[in-house]
Amino acid sequence: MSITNNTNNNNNNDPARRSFLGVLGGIFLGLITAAMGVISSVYVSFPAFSNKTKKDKLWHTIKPVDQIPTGTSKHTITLTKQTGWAVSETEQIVWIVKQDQSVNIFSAICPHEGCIVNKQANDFVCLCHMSQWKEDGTKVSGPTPRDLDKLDHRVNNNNLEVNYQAFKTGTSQKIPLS
Amino acid sequence: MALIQSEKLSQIAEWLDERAAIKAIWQLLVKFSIPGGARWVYVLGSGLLFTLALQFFTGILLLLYYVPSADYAHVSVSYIQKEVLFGNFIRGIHHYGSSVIVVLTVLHFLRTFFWGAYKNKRELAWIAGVILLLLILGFAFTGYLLPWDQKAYFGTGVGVSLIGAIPVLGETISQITLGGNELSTLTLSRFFVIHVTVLPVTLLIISFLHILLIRKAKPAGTFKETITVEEDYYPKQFFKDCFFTFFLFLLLATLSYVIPAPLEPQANPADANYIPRPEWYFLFLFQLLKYFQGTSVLIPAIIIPGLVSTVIFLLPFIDKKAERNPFKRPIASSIALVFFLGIISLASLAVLEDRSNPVIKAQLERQTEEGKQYLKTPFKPKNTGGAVAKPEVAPVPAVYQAKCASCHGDKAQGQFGPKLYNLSQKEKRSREDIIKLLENPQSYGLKPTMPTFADLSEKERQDLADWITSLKE
Repeated sequence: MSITNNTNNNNNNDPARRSFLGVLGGIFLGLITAAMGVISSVYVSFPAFSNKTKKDKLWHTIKPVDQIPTGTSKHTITLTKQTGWAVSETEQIVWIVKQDQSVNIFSAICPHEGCIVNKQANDFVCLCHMSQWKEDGTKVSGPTPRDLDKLDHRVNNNNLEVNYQAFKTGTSQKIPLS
Repeated sequence: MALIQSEKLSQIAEWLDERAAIKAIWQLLVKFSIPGGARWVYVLGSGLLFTLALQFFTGILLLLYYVPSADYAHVSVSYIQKEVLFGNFIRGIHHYGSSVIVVLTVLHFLRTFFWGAYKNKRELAWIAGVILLLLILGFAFTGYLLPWDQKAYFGTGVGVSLIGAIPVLGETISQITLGGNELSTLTLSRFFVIHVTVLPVTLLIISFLHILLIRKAKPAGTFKETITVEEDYYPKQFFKDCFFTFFLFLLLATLSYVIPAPLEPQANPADANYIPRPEWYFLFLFQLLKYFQGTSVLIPAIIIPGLVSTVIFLLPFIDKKAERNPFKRPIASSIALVFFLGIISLASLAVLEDRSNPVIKAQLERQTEEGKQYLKTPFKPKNTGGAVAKPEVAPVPAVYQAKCASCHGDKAQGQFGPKLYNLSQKEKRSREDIIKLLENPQSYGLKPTMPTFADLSEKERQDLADWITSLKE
């Protein structure tokens, strides 16, 4: 075997041509990377912005009004949600406060960081960060930025119904999450 | 302005180089010479590297939504395909990518063989290459099951049953592969783990070794005896490799866009009519199986592939002559050519025989059509039950056993009559509707094959309606 270095071929050693071919190759690789970058970003973030998630029914029946005990009682609501490919059921707790003729329903999700609010003596307390509210939902003490989140309710065919909603935590305003 | 910019760039490059030796790494990557110079025929290896990288990337993206369970695998793939933006594109690239990899691997293999590029201290690089070929077939086999559609289920069933042909240990190995006696959710988990962890890690290590060994031995280059040119990899071969890579990407993108990756309805083990056919690259093996009967299935399933693999593995030790020119190695070249043409003929025969048998042809066409129809139907999410504990399914009422079970099956799963699950989700099938329907089915638009049950008591009809509306899946 004999190897002679290719010195006659000007093209090969011309620096301009060398860098031209290199840059052109780099452009091809760059185009693929850019295309896959855009496509995969859309693919990954899709569920975050998809509005195809099926909305649950608005009003959830609790029970006949006359069966609601006076004072504070706990009730569990079952939500049906479609997330991605799955339809699943989750439970959420609400606090019902009935006094004389008035009824208030509060979400048990703490407006501070989203822990579950419990009843302690005459007050509502969140044991995560010791926020405290009165029975009417107004803030007493602790890091919570606002009162307990009151939920809309109505009486339909003598049944107490609640419009269950989740709200943004950590804000002094009550902002519904869609 | 441009001058300042390029000065800035070179300053950044300098800064990086002092700390991370980027120039030395770049030199190491592209500074090696190719005897005979750059050629289009050498792009296959780089093409494989790119397509494999693309499979890793799209595979990771698919994992974002895929669920490896017999209950949810199919619905999650269907979700990727029908709902997720660019989901059909990503899955398409992964699907067609597997075929492109098999084609490139075979071409790369043939190129290396005919160029005699396994000779002259390249035995280990060759062996690493053969291991990579087997790994790629392993990827193809395990990935085929994951969508859990009809062809995945039935195709893999045939594949695994071949393992049973291994003497003495066959039965045990096949049971370990399946995780039991039949294809189940455990089988899916096993194939999934092999496909996404065991094989990728092994492939990474062996690919690295393969490239390292080739760089150590230096590229073989041309098989001509007098080499007049010796060119560096960069820029000519680099450009050719990048161009080919770009071509492969366009090919895969176009295929995924124009013909979406197939997805048939979810696996139904009770479908007696389904005829499984392997992917095109396993058709030759499928055809070979037809020529052997009974226990002699051992020959095409185990002995022939085993012998051929062994010969290919040991090729550099069998053929030790220095001659690389394929025209001066007529015996080796002819054997390889006959072997390759044999594989193509077997695969073609498999297709031709399917087409000439009217029954099989019709069924295969029906299956393809069902798959196309399935892709066209809108996505339907699956009820997972979720966090809430469901009450146990109520026991079957006696009146159902007496009056309904003979047509609708003893668990309402459907037999002669339709199955009765999820009825309450349909229109005009509430509890009250069902009570009335039993009295006069035809007023609800049912065919006369559904008899009237007006003779049942009101209580019996209420019990039936209660039970039927509780049936959900």
